[in-house]
Amino acid sequence: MSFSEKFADFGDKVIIKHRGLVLVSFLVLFLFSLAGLKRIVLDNSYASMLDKDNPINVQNRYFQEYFGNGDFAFIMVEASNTTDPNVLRQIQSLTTALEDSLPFVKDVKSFSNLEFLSAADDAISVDKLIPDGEIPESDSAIAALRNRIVSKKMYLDKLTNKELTQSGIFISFDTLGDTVYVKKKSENIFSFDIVKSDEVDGKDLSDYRLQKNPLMLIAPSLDYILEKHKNEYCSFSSTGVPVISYNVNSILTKEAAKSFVLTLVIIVGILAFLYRSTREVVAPLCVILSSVLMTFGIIGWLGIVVTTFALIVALLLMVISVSYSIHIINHFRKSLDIDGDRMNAVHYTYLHSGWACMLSAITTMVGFVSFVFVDMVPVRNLGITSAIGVAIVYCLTIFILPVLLSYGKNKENPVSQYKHAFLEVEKFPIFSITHAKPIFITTLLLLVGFGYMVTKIKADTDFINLFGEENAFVRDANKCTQNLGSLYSYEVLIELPEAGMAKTPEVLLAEDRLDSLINTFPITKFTTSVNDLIKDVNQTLHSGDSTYFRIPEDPNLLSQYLLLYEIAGGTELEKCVDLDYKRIRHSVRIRRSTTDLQYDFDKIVSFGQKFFPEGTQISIVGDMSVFLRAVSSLVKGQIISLIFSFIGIFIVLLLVFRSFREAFIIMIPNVIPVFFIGGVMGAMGITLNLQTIVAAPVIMGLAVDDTIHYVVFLTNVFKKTRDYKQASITTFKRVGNGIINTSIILFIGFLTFFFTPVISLHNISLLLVVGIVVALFADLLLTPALFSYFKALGKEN
Amino acid sequence: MKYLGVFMSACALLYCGLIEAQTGLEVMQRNKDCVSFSTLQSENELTITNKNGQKRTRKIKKIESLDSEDNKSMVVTFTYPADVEGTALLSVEKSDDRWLYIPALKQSRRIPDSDLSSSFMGTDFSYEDLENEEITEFEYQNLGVENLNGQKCYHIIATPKTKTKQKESGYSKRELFVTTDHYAAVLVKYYDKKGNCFKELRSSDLRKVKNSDKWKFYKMEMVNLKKKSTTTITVDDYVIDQKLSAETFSKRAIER
Repeated sequence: MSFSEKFADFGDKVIIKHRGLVLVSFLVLFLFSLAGLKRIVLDNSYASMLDKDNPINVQNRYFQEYFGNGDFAFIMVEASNTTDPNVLRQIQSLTTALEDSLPFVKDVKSFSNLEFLSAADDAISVDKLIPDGEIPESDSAIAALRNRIVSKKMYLDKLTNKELTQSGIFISFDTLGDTVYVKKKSENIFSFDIVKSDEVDGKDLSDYRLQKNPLMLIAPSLDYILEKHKNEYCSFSSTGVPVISYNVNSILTKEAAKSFVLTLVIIVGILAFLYRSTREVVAPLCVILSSVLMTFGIIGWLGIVVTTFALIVALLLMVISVSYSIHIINHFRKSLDIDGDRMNAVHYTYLHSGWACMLSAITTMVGFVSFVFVDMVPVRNLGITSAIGVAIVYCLTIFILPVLLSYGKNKENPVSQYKHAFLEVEKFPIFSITHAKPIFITTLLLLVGFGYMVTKIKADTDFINLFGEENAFVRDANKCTQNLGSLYSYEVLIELPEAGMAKTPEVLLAEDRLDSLINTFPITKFTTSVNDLIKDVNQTLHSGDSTYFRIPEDPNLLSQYLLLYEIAGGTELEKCVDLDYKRIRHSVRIRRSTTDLQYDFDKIVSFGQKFFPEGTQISIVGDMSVFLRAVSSLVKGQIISLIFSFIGIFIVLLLVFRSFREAFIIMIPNVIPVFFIGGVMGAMGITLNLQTIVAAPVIMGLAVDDTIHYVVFLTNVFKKTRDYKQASITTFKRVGNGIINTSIILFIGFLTFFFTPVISLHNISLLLVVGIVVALFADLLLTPALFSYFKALGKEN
Repeated sequence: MKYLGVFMSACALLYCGLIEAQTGLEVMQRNKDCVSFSTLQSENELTITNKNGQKRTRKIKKIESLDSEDNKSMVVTFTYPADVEGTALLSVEKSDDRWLYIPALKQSRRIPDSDLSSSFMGTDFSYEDLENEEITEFEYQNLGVENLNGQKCYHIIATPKTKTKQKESGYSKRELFVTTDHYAAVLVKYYDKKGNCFKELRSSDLRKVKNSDKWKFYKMEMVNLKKKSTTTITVDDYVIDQKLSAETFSKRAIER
């Protein structure tokens, strides 16, 4: 008994015989899975990209212990004159509202509360830029304020432009931790009642819900506060990682939901068009929806944390599910049309598509499971989610769909001959076999060309680049970064060998040189460090003479400046140097995130080793170091996962077909779409990111599905005819339309998210569509030629 | 024996009654009388410890004087670490004068009065914590006598009375535990404007100052519950009510 027959036997004796029990078990499992949906944990934070014990996350937490959270939000104020009293009042009111109501806020810096070091005659003071919060009203007072602002080098291009038409508000945050508890009844975005995880002891949290990634609470409150402060005098634009993360989350969720509904409608339309039968539309629809819901429910039960990017899995599962369902329904209908008996039709379906679908599911799962080798948590979890999803899709298609189709009356007037569909598919193998050589040469040339373009692929995890300018948060981010603000930052942590060294001229002069180096990097927007404070004190104590905007070389003077600054009421010191003067923080705000940052980081570290005292440790911390590691992990991960996919799929084919040559030939038409996808990415500048990484394994899995259906039938027919051309023609007549139908459905299914304003979704749609078309043409034109030319199934008679 | 028991109980009740009878204001007046001085000299060690256990230590020499109108004058001279040695801060409340002498520049600079709520030299103490309390500006409520670590203490709630004080103070209220014997505040809890307790001053090592009838704490620990940092002041020795020359609190004196 062949494996197909064993499978069909199992279908008859187990699944169909106990179909009532199968349906009840399915219902129980379905309800159980649904309960897991509530437990799904979404986490889009940068820190969640890498494992907790990853050295970069460990170093980031170490930095936060001394200097707190590096996350910030930035608000750009635009007005014809930002020192106009009306504008200043708006800034003042907004600053107070942010200080009072924004969750996790640590510090808000704006014109209204900015520290201002000044000296007059023999007096020195650290006051506010606007003393006592009294907004200047007279022309002379406004002019004095303008002079105060432009006199400070520290402010220019950071907090204001020279024309004073733009002004910045910087918001820094407390360390948020991984989770917080939010009071359910207080879920009013203006006043969250939040309990941090380190404040939980002894508190009754029955009225609270767990919030993973607390960063998500910031943006809605910020939006609300900005909305309340809309006015006729100035405009506000906001950006920063908390704003971007929140928008990425909500836009992706909305777009994925839209695409989900659209795909569902299209699938219903296609099924209705193909089968014109309520049962054959409703039954696969049940399978499709149940697969998606059960997958995410089980993910919830397993406690697997997913990013919003994992929503793409729902769309993929729908499309894969349709593809399997069509194979099942095609075989079922074919038998039912000819034989008329439903049970026989189910047997025929199991015989001809049960294990082919299983092979296809296994190969697709191998592709996804290979993501576990990626050093990036979201990609690993995406792979696990997808693999579980494919397994569920397969199980439901094989266990539930035939059961649903088995109920009902037998067909009364079966036709003696099965009618083929609309295409004369047998022309493809004829053309393929008669033009084998030109097809091989063309394929080879295309492979070389696309293979070259693969080398041009770049990886990226910058959320801004994954979304288009059509999204307001991207426009705001670009506007801010092109002017005053910045979107991303990194921190240089300088850890000196001994306490007290951070206030020595030797170290501070080295830091000054490091600062000059960092400012030569094109990506650097501006830097802040303890040197700014010391230089400002030195200049102020020398009657504002700008030649004194430098680090003094007398160690005692340096220490006394720092003491003077503290006694005079300065509060910025602790943000730049730790308590025992051993660690220095050098903050660098940058224009955008790019992989070129790695060169800058290397230069900083090698500079540090050269110019700081021996034993000094220089490390780069913050989200950008996570970003760089994530990017390199994505590239490595894609390569490793593809290698594992190739090997895994090859082993599966080898085990099934027990022929090295056959397995190798089957691999060729399935590897080609992967090259094409890579080539398109390289040629069109589509980056490898959290979504595009799934394109190659998905296409391989789906392409293998069609090839397996073709090869299984071809092998059976060839055994009888021993003639490749004839066997191919017969095979195409039987499975060709099924292959084309599924490809058309996959094409349309993947096309649904082509028109989204989210660039990354648009790109993955494009890649999957290209992959499907190439896979189809490879199956129609290349596979018959390969089998015939290389005599994969043995010699002809 | 029986009568002795009754007698002792009556005495205890009478004693407690006497204790209870004092108003908050009376307790705080006694507290103020107990800690008052005309001049006070001390050598202090200030240690700031942050939540990571890192420490910053400074040693200072402090000379203070109170005039008949309760105006305070103070000179703080840094003696440790070596790189700030000789740096001196002069503060004269009556003339609103504050000067800082920077030895490396050999110059004194006038520095303006800081906000009462702002930090004193980067420590967990604010200027308000160190100022001479003006008891007419607060309302004191005596909640009774409580046992604190085996010590009988008046439990006092102090809230700013005047609008000006409410505005300039960094606290919405203070909770004081004042010993019934020496009228010394062993524990002060500070509440922010939202009503949350965020700082605690724990004073200990109460000793009688040499050649004086005054009692003073030799160790004070200000704990910031929010920042999880602590500033400890340990006093080497006090010299109380010793005559000082009129020049002690002058710019020339700190530059010497």
